[in-house]
This record gives sequence, structure tokens and C-alpha cells, in this order.
Amino acid sequence: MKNFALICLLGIVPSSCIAQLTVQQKVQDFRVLVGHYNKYYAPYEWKKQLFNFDALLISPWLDRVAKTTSDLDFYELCVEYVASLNDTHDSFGMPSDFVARLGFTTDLYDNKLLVDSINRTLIPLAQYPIVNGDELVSIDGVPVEQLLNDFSKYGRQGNPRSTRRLTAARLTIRPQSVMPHAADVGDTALV
Amino acid sequence: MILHWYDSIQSERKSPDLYHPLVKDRDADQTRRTHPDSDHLERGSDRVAGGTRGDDPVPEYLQPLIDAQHSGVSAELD
Repeated sequence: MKNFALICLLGIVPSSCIAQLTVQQKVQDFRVLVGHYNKYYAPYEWKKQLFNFDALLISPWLDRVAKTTSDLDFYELCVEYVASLNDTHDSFGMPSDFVARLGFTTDLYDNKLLVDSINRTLIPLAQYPIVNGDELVSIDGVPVEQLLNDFSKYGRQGNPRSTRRLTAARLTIRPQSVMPHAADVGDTALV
Repeated sequence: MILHWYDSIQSERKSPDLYHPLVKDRDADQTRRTHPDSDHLERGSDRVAGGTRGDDPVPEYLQPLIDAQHSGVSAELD
């Protein structure tokens, strides 16, 4: 009976009651993140000159942090901050093992996004006539070129081509460890 | 063509809050922090995620820079 009561109680607790970070906590956490780069990041000056990104100029970032309305949005901002370094060796990771996948992968071939592997368990050929070499044009009506730009912060590398290739992989395989809102995908996608 | 999004925990995915990193991390934070295999960024994100707040404050020498920049005044570190 106690278990039943507990289950009922949990059932009526709205999800919004799950605590989110306060603005003060988010600002403090972001400062800690910046503190790491201030203390340990050797190529700070180089990135400043090469990309015009000053990792220690955090006033604009703090303003944006304060305006985030959820923890996941805050983490998105942290991802964007680290991605601004354009550093293959650096990414903002979160302790989540959630991964959403469409069942196939793509990569850039002659600057086109082509399917290069298919999980036939998830996508049987008889039901889905997609084959290696097919070009991915859009997902849910959004052109892949726009997706590659919008998602580039999730696959930022040292040069644009590498970034596009890693970002291409993120379009159909979305790990929440690097994409905070990965769990927000719908049940299906129109490709 | 309509394809399904498959995920690692499909049966539970209807409730996105289950995947909220904070919910997971608040339970596992202490273990994660002391895990010898944790890499630098993961430990950093654990601090961000909560549970150990205040253990690793901003270095004192950085504070004037942050305060100055937060107030809109530029400053440089020594």
C-alpha cells in the first residue's frame, strides 16, 4: 500500500518540479568553465588572433547565460562557448548515455552528403528503399546545408572540412553527451 | 520517406526529463568525481552539473577580470 501511495504521489508531481539550476548557479558554473580555459588553455592568444574569439571576454556570455530558461539551454550555451575555440581537442561533454539515431550514417563526398552505411535491422531494404550512395537532401524539411551550419557547434574541429564531416555524422546519430537537446527529437523524421 | 528515431532507451524516451543530465548526475555525481578514468572534460562537466558546487571556485586572479568584464569595462590579466 505504501508503494502504491508513493507511485501515486510520484505520478502527480509535475515534471516542472524537477529542480533547474538557478541563474546564480549557472553563472557560477560558467565562470568555472571559463576558469579552466584561463588556467589550462595554452593556445588562448592564438585563438584570439586566428578566430577573433576571446575566451576570457565573458560578459556577453554571462548575459546569455542569465537569459537561459532551462538547464539544457544553458548546456547548449556551454557547447557553443567551447566550440567557438574551433579546437579538435576540446568539446563540452555531459554525463548522458542517450543517443538518438535514424539507422544510417552520412558523410561528405564531393561536398555532397551521401549515405555510406545502413543498419538493415532498423531499416529493412524491403520497407525502406534507401541504399548506400543516396544523397541526403533534408531532414524534416530542413535542407542539410542549413543543418550542417546549425549543428556545426556539435562537431567543431580544427578546420571547416573536418567540422562539416563530423557534423554530418551528428545529423543522423545524436548523442546527448554532446547535443544537450538530443532527446527532443520526435518519434519519426521525414528524410 | 519517414524513418523512426531509434534511441538507446526507447521504452522510456517518452519522458524527456528522464534524460535530463542533472537528474542522472545528481545521483551519480560523487561516484563520477572520484572515478579514476574520468577525463578532464567529464570532470569539468560534473562540476557544472551540480553536487560539488563550490569545490573549485574561480581563481582569485581571474575574479577582477570577470568583474570588470561583467560590468562592461575591459581589463587584462597581469
